Amino acid sequence: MSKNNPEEANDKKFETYLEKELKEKVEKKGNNNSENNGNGDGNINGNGDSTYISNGSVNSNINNKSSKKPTTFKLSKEKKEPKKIKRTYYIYEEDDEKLNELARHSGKDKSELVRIAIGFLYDNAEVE
Amino acid sequence: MGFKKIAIINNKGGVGKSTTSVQLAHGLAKLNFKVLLIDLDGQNDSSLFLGFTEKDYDDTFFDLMDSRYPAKLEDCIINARENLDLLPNDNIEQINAELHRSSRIDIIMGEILSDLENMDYDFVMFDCGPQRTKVNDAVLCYIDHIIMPVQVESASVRAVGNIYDYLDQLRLSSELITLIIPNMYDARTNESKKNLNILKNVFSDNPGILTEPINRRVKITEAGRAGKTVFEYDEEAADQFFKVLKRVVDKIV
Repeated sequence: MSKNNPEEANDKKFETYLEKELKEKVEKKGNNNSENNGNGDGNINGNGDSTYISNGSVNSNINNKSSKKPTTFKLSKEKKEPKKIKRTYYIYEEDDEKLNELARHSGKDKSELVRIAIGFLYDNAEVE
Repeated sequence: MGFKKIAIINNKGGVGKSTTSVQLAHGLAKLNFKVLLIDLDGQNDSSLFLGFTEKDYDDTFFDLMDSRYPAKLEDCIINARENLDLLPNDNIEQINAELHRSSRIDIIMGEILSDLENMDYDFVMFDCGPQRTKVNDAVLCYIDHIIMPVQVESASVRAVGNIYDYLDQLRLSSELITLIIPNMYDARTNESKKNLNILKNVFSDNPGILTEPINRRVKITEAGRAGKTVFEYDEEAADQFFKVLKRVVDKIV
């Protein structure tokens, strides 16, 4: 190696960069995000690919376009059903984002959430 | 928390994709971002440059694709450095063969890596192989940003347009290309200077896409061979990547 302790020297550069430029940059971006449209999507740059809004319940985020309050229910941490089969269905991007958001909030995987949604629909939907 | 998905890709081989992947991934990790580097190059150079050989891992990316008993993502990931994890591969041909069977190459990577949604990574980076393969198709359909190292020599510079054709073929936007890194630049040669100028001319309408060149340094190669990153190995070599790292932060963070 060219110098006695290059790793230490490099670490100091990172520390300096972290303390000055990056901190300032992230804070500035954070402020911009909250000022602009409240789209604090959890991504580093605030304009990422999800619609996560860290301001409360899952349902209030997902259904914020609708004035009618939807039926709500709690997601418990119950154990997953053991038997699964793999199927591919199409889903709209918007719904995929909602699913991602629900998964993040509930700590459940998306397959489990789909199972709950289907169960809910099956129990409650009236099919003509 | 959402995470940024970056592919380090160039359809030409030997331009420094794995080196760039490892250095940027470790650089971001040192900036306290949590990074997952996914090695999807058949040569496994990213894993090697981080000091890992096949003996160091059992489950790999391929095991995630097992249709009957897929491995858990967390079981395939190994911790490489503080804040930096690695998802290795050991069977790129079979991964390609499996992906050939997929009817939806545009969503398959998201399905394979669906557990990432419940992890806390800030960046997921892909070290891609050079050819147009199903693996690369799937990666490109999945990512938000492309970082493309280009060796500053005539054949590589001529091949820059290939990635645009590739994206067009996949019906993906060329705006995914976020940064182009002139790599292995040798300021002593007229050839290098000429080729760097060509690159600057090509991207004169969008100069922000081009980073400062990374100079050719023996220490960069030595670091990889020693299983270390430049940030662990040499100060001057680290400076080469530090300037590019700052550009990544500016553009993507």
